[in-house]
Amino acid sequence: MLRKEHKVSNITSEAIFAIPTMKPSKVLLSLTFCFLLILTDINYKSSEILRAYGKDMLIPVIYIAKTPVFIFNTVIDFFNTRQDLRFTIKALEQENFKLKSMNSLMNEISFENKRLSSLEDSIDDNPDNYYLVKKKFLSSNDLKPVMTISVNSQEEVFAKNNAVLSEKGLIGRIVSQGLLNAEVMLVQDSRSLVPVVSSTSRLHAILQGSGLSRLGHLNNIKKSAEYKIGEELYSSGLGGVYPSGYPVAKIKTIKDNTDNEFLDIQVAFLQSPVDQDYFLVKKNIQVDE
Amino acid sequence: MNRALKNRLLIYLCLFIGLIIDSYNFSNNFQFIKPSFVLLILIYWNMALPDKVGITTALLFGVLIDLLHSSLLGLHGLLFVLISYLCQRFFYQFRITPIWQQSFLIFIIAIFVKQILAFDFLDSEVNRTNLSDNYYFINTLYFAILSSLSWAPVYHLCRLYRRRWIKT
Repeated sequence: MLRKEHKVSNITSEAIFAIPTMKPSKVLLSLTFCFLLILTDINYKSSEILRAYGKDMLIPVIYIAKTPVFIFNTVIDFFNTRQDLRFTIKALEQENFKLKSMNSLMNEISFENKRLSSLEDSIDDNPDNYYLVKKKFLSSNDLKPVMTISVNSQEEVFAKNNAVLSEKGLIGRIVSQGLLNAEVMLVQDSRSLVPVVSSTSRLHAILQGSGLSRLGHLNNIKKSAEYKIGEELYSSGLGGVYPSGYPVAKIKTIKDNTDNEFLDIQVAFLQSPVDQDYFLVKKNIQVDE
Repeated sequence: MNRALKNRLLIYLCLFIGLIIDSYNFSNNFQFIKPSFVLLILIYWNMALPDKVGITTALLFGVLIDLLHSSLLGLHGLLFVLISYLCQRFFYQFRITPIWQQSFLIFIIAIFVKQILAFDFLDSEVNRTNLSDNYYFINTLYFAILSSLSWAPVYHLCRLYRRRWIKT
């Protein structure tokens, strides 16, 4: 028995079991330390420097967490019987037949594609400015979602404020970079502000997120502004943080409340990172220049 | 190896397993309502062996969770220290209550934790101090229900682990 775990009664010499709890003074000291950490983070953004490097250290934990699922899938694959494989072959043959019949149709589409690719070539954008990255982790706080992506610190593409894109448009920007990880603040984050321009009315605005699976909103829009429901919003590139011309969201509702001097415009984001694994990082040329 | 040190390492290992489970990434909305196993395991050890887990453990794992979930540095540390202190302060009462009552307390703690995480510390919304909305509150309830349901298995598994490996 450890010395701390009991006292001995002076009267009866019996053991009195009283485990001392944390000292309130120590608790207060640690709470003050935590408050200091929080205040430093709020005022000086200290965690933006530390977090990605800290996450580098936590990589083994993330990989260990994925290992059981990987082993389970491998075992399932291994024990697939011959019968299962026959069924698979039969299904694939049917799929092949369908694909052959579709192929004739594709010839026509490929002609259209050639025209489009020539159009794409005409755009003066270097493919070296893009880099494919994989999602590693998505934070569990859906109000302030932060996505972690795997990076190679030697690549020039990975730097703070570089835009992260998906096939549907803008996803967010890098806020913290480590050796093997980078953190991406998503456009759905309530802290994120994206300068946007509408597709048809060509009006500029600031788009703010409200969390994942929620509608975002346009800030301080005058009542005279003529936005339309269903209009797409593209990044305007103002401020030089986000690149211009990428689709971000679509206008969902426009409300004109009498008690508000601004319009209440809610927008739906085009892409959620929850069900997507791969993204593109674009080098921010405007900032470099 | 010194017995006290070995016990401490075994408790850290248990918490580390919780951290591994927490770091698994679900590809759907379950990611936002999954229970925090580090918190549940920390509560268990504060209740079972309060003299062997303390402020350092709570702070360390709080900061690790902050790094993992990209929350404000120190926020989870603060919550974990506060919850550890409350658990240790009332562990005599907490330990003798039936498991369903303990689950109910876990439910309350989980709601408290999730709501603190919704605070707008960075003042991103001008008119609000708490970013929580209906959807977030429903997620909070799911999180609390899942945490309280997870409490019984976590409790029994940790007790099994303690009886098998940790000798006092």
